[in-house]
Amino acid sequence: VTSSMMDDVPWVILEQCAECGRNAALPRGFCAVCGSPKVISHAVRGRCTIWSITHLHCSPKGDAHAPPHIIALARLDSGIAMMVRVPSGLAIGDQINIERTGLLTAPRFIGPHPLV
Amino acid sequence: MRGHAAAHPGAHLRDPIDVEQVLASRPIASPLKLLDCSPISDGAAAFVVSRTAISDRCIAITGWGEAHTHQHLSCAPDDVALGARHSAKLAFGRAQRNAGDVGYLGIYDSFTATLALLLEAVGFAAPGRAGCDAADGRFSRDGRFPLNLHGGLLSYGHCGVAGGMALAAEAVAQLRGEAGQRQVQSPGVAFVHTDGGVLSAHVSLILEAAR
Repeated sequence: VTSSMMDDVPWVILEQCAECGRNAALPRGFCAVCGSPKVISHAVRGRCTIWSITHLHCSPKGDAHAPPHIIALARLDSGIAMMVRVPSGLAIGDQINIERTGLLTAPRFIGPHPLV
Repeated sequence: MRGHAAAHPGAHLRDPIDVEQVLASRPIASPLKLLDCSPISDGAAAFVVSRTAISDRCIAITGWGEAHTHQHLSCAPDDVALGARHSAKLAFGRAQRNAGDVGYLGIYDSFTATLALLLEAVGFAAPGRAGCDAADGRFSRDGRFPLNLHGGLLSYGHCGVAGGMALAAEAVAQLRGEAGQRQVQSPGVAFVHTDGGVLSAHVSLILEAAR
């Protein structure tokens, strides 16, 4: 976490390979591309584009939310995709902001881009 | 698939349905409706695999291929059925066959969308054309590429791994000429493809009557 992260723009924590530089959203403790065990936590801007979206009309047992659950695959500018719950009214191609504060934290929808 | 299942006494779902009924069924995960999804079924399948033919009913595995592109959906390639392209290419290469040689298809149809993606990825339909081709009869018993004539996962039933194995079991029955009223005339070469996960892990087989 750097001082530049104290501004209002959301950030997403990723795992980055210290050798080849590749980012990954799912923490593995090693680089899935080059195999290096040297990975570090890394923050990128949370702006992304909706690549796919679905309305789920079934809920897992015990889920506190009533359906539909609107789930998007949102792709960061770096190309890394993350799965995130979003509100209604969004479509493929829309730009949104997401935030993830740690490698094991679920990404959170912040708002459409630019922030309004 | 439902029309095909009607001809199989072991199929889970055999009552005829039409397009309007599919579209009117309740939504599950947009754009898929209930009747776009395979049921949860009971069932089993088994194969005896031997190095050499042990009877004149034996069917040869002349090609096989596997590919694994991702596990979680967020890591899928842009071309989500890319693994099918890779595994099919390996299988066709080993068999020294191509899609044009094929006379019977057994392809994983967990959902209507899965089937369309796989048919187009492997080359049995042009991109975006699988649905139109199905409506035109391309995958019917008397079409160019007879497909899942036991009813597929969508109607014969989905009992987990054995549901995928049922695709191969029907292909074997067709190649042996033992498929009764579902029988295709001279299928020759069969292509079977299944996947697991979320289009994650793929396997393709080329099956042929012993040559």
